[in-house]
Amino acid sequence: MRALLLIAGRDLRSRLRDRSGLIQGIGVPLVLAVVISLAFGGGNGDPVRVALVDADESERSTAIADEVLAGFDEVEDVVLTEAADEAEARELIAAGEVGAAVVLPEGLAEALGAGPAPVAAAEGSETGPDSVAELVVVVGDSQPVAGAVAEGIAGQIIAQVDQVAFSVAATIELGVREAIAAGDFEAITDPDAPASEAALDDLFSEVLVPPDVEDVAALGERAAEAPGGLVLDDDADAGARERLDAASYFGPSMAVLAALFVVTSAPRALIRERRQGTLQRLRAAPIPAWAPMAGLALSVALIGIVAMGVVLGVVSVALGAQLGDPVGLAALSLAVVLFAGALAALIASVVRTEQQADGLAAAVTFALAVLGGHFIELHALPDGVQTVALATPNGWAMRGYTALAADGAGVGEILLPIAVILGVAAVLALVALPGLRRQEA
Amino acid sequence: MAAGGETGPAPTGSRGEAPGAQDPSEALVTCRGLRKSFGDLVAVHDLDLAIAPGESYGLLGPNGAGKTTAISMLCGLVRPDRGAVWIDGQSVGVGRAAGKQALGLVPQQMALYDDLSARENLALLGRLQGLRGRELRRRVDEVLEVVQLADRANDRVATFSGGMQRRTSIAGGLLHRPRLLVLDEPTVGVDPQSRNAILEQVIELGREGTALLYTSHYMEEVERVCDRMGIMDHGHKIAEGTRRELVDSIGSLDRLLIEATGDLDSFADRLRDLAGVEQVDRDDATVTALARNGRSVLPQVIPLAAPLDVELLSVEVDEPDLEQVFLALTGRALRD
Repeated sequence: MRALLLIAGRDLRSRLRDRSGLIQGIGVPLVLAVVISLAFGGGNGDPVRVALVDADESERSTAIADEVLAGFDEVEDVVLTEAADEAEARELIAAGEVGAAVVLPEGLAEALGAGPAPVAAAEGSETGPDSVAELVVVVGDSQPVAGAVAEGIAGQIIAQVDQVAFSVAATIELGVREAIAAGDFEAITDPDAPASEAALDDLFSEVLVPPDVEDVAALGERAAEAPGGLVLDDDADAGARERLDAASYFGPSMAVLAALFVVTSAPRALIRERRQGTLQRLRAAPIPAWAPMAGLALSVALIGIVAMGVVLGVVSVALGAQLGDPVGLAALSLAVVLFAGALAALIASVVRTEQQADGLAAAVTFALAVLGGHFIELHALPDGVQTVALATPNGWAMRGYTALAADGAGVGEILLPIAVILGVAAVLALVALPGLRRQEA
Repeated sequence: MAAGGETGPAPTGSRGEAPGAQDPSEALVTCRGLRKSFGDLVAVHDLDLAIAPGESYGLLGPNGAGKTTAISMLCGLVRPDRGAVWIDGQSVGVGRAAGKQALGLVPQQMALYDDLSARENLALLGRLQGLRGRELRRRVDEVLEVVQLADRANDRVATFSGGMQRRTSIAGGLLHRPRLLVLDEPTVGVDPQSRNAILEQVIELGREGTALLYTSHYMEEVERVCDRMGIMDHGHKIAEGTRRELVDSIGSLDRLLIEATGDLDSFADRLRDLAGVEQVDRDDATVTALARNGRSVLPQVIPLAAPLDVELLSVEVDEPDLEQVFLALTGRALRD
């Protein structure tokens, strides 16, 4: 153990003295994290596609839907598509044709009040909803932008409905009620005896009196306290989830890359030690045979952990990235470092020169980064590539990081990604072992 | 080599000690039947070797002869296909610490960390050898004095010349006072002045009682440093012995080249009568004598001249070198 720590300490000291190593391992991924977060924070250029579902199919809901669709006619960055029902909307999301959906629920019209508002007021009922309808927003995996747009649409709809309801209530309670109480409303709505124009003018001049400001304020307070006719369904099972902003996605993405870059530099260091004879000298000392390589591995693993910590810390503090449960974050990150170490061992077992080590490490790291959704979000990749991504431990890591940040998962909920990552690491290490032994003996 | 040959490491005692057939008091290092192949290439064929305590043993041979592979197996760096190694009574092998405490290795490469100072390099090596605290610091200072680098102790090795790096490397092999110091071509890439200094330091270590195993393809180094030597070629040890024994083994004679004036015919006749002189030739002012041991004949030459009024102008003793031994044994030059 002492030999292991001595050798690891020596390598750490050399790497810290070598500023280029620090720049490569920490500085570059950190800069990438910041740049990519800022660049992709505004979207990646494609229009956002959202589906709109009118499940109520009432006059009221149809009017709302038409108004929403018309409102986005001229908006180039957002494309609204109508879907027959929530199930079809979810299918469209799963197929990648839309990123999110807004569902006007069945019972919407009833919740907002049947018939014209004055009729309800004439019957003496309080204006306001008899029930509450829940407007549903469904968001696809890793679709933060589409989700935000869908929520915005939902918010607009709710606000508009509330505004209309408030206006109607204000009109009824503050103006029309007196006229209705007087029986005039019955008179003017009798189909067998239509009122004369003069009578209507007299009625509305009395009815549409400017309301008292205090009465309006009191009505506003009641409206704020009572539930509106339409609310947003925030049940997680309905598909709504906390959105992942770019920093929260690409911060962990770059942290994983940092670990890969740093740890896969170990084969180069091993070959250099072999070339300059220091490895031979270490092995001639009365220490365990595994100590020289294990010491080197420990050193790069520690630097990998630090690199990940720096990147995650900076994106969290400086860019406000949401990273989720710290214990889960630490466990997942440690698994990533162990995978990187196993990958480094495999590279070391097959290369002979430092140039080969650099080339193979760079190629493997880059390929993993592309396949694992580190530069482009997974959903934007072709279907075939997304399937291949399931075979990459770093792709599983990104699923884990997304679950931590977007779904509020704890370590228990990300055991599968961790297990996959560690399983692959174990396999790589076993494959690497004979090659490493052959090189040393 | 054990009778019948060994197909694997020799059986050891429960503590990895040398088997009873070997007398540990006679040999500090024993190698039996060491063999190593790399694919189809047999790098070392059944090497037997023994080094006594305090003995300086040289392993001489051209590049590719198998010297470094032999050294690597002896130091437990490479696993032999067959055979065994004992150092100080303990079996040495890959991944085993036993026996390595008595061994100090100076590899062919510099084997130093460029970004560390000489002191830091030595401190690391000393800690790996089990030295601690004050003893470690004192020992580092001592070896730096031995290799004459005390004034550069805190400078990075990257700033050292080749000779200084080599001396630092030698210091690294001495820290723990090994009983055997293995030097694998320690003067490669070193300027002549540094080379001489290195050789002097190595010779001094030998005088102080450290056994040396010195490999080189420079015969003059091996002749200068070593008491006994083995010659390797194509993985085989083709000859072994002192320099004298090796030369005698091929029947070569020393040549005494004498330049003189006077009655050289009578002088030549007197020379032929000396014991050990095989042949005498005369040519103008030069008399050439071939003798078994020129150094023992030389003291008898001078008294012969005076009674004959022969004035000796110069006397040279030209001894056969290992190059001639190697040529005689292999038909090739030692240096390719």
